[in-house]
Amino acid sequence: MTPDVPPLCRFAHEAMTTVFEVVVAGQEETYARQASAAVFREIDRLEGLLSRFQPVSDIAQINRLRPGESLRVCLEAFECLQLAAQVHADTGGAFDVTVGPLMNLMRDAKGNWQRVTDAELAAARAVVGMERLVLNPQDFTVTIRPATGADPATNVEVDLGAIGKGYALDKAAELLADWEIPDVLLHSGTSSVLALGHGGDAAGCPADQRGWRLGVAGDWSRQAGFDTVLLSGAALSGSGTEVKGQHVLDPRTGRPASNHLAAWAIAPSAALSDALSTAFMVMTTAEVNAYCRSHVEVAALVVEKRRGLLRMLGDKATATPAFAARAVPPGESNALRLEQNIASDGKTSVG
Amino acid sequence: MSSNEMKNVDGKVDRRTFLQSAAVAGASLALSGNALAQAVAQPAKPNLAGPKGIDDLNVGVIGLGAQGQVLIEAASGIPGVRFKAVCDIWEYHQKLVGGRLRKTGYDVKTYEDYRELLAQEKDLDAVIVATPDWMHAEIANACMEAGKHVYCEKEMSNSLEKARSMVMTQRKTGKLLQIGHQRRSNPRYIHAIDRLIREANILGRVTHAYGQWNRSIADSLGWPKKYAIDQAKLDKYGYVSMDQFRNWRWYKKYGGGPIVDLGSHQIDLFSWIWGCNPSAIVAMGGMDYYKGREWYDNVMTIYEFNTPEGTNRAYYQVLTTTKRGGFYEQFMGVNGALTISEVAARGDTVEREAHAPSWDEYAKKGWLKPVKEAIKPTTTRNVAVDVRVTAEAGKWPLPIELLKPAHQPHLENFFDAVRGRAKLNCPGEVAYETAVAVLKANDAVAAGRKLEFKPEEFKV
Ligand SMILES: NC(=O)c1ccc[n+]([C@@H]2O[C@H](COP(=O)([O-])OP(=O)(O)OC[C@H]3O[C@@H](n4cnc5c(N)ncnc54)[C@H](O)[C@@H]3O)[C@@H](O)[C@H]2O)c1
Repeated sequence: MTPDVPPLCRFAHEAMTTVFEVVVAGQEETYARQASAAVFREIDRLEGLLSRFQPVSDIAQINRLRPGESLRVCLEAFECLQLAAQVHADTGGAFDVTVGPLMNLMRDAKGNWQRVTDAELAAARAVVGMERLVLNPQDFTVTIRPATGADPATNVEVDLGAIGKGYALDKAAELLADWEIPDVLLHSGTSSVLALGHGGDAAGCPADQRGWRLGVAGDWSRQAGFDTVLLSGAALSGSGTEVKGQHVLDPRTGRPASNHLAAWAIAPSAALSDALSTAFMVMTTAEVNAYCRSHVEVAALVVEKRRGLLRMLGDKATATPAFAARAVPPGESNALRLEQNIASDGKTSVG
Repeated sequence: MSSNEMKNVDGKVDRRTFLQSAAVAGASLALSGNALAQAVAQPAKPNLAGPKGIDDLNVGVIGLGAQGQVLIEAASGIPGVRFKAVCDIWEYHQKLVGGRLRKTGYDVKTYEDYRELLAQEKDLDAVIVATPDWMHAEIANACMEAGKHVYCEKEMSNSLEKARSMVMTQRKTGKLLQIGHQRRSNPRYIHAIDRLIREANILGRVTHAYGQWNRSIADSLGWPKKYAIDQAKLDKYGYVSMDQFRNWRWYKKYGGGPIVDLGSHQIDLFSWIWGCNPSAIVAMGGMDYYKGREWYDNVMTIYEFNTPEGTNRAYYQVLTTTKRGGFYEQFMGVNGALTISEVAARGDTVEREAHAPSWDEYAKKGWLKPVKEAIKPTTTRNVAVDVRVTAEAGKWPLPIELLKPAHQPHLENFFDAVRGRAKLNCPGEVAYETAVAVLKANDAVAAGRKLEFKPEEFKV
């Protein structure tokens, strides 16, 4: 007798200050559970390497380097930093993993934005910047450049919070490929979702719609004209203002990012979609559109905030054609929902 | 590569192609960053693959599972360490670890059989052994016989006879044999035990010690179907089944069960504190929760130490059905108690008894942090540590932080000893004494009564 194959198996695990979930389709329960356990061990391992809160992680060690000093880092930390540098360059600096000191200056202990003087702002901006990290792929070293225009001895504060969870999902997907589990959905506390293969009926996806249905757009779904997208072999990440408040800062100005109320990015990798969802909060709609034109593998949805919060309802959520092409018309979404479905704050949900 | 080139015929970008091209793009971007490196002090370039420099050491690793990978990660941070050969009977781990090492610049060969590795690799200085316990002796002995220094994971062996053979081979060959009780090289533990407890006698007589390692329930480990090892190969290497190969810790043939696996690190500290070996043990435990495994899933044990000061006792427990309290050790003396854990957030303080002599002089010397100084959750220039626990009143924090992976200092100590610049912190003889104390816990559970240790039991 062949063991029962349940339509979906779901397993959750706390890591990186969120809850990861693996949703496996079409596999025997024990096999799916053991594969998910391997995924969770891998995510824990990555947290140990990438979290700035773990004093011995490569990132914490980078943050203790003095200008001029170098550290040989592990493959995983180097790959994250390389991608972060790539996105920084491609978005004209809208994404910056070194922005911590600016955030600390601009927000009080409770996380509220506060007034600062121009001089304070200039000083904090001087120590921030991706160009302070020199990444050498020959020997996997990271070298810190001195800050110009500030105390040159100041260290750098790298925080991979806006890319590391997505990267962990990508690594998990590599591991699941070893386990030959093609149909699986992985998410990191719903802020990034990576959809591989096909979810099947139980995930609200009939066989003629290969993929997984993911809820997007939250409260803005009416303006967007859809609340679900169909995804396979791609990742979706969301960033928004509701749960954490306005928590994104424009590294190019040092000021709170005010262009969008929420942003979603679809990309081939979860690390990239994770990073881009933050960048798209910061960039103007025109910049987001330009980015998506030159990166056809990426799709964007942003909620504009042109005339302030009160007029928001009159504004239109803006989706790139690539995003709209994946949209499922509202009437058709018979959705399986994630327990932590917080779609209204720019997070994503399984639809 | 432009994004257009990445499109498939149907216009979609294939995920794998994208990931590869993104890596390529990232590399060229970082290369342009290379020019920037000229502007700052040039680091000494690690010589991972070229001709061997004077301080370089060629290193092999046998056993590439969870711990083999942890040790490789920790050793990569040590200048001069060049991985040259790695070995694992499991193709899956061979590929994974070999691939990772090659990607990061090591010129590394992979082997299935350690005998093949030793036959081919003539210029290795040292070998790290991280296979399941039952293979430690055979492999470590062969390495020493072949003229290599050995860093071998604990437990030395699941059989005392085999553990003894390691000490004897070490003596015969004169090679170094370090056993992986890494707390022995951890500066936090060295400070707490050698300086505060033994030298300053800050706790007074330590009448009792306590240690625990509690873990949540966990399923048996699985394996990707396509990497299942066929039965002929399992037989060749002595594994009964794929399940036993993956979950060796739970079977008597390969390991000593949780008390040995986890307890060994912490029970090792009791003899370090008191400077002598235990004289007797009682223990209880059983296979009470999991089905189909062989070793006790919970063990509670009490060791008796006859020290020059009098009889002191140590209690140790390992539970695998609850993680309550996690893992830590506690040394309780008449003047105070020290709580420590390999993860500092779980234990890093000394509590003073009200009647104890003042500790201010230790605070002045920097041996303890004064208790009134609030721990600031701030970031100083060179020490950016996010303090998420605040000191409780009456608890004096230990002053030392370990800002490297937990296994790195022990590996550093080993490689320094190989270079002739240090003495091993955990040589075979010392680890053998610990193995005698730890393995006896299983005997005591089986016997159901108090067992005595004879002093000569600890000698090889
Ligand atoms: N010091 C520590 O903190 C610590 C922590 C965990 C494990 N360990 C020790 O490390 C060792 C390995 O434990 P693990 O958790 O990595 O186990 P594991 O099962 O994850 O890995 C063991 C590896 O050894 C390989 N192997 C088995 N027999 C072999 C042989 N004959 N030749 C070559 N390779 C072989 C297996 O294929 C596997 O890859 C054990 O002795 C364990 O007690 C120490």
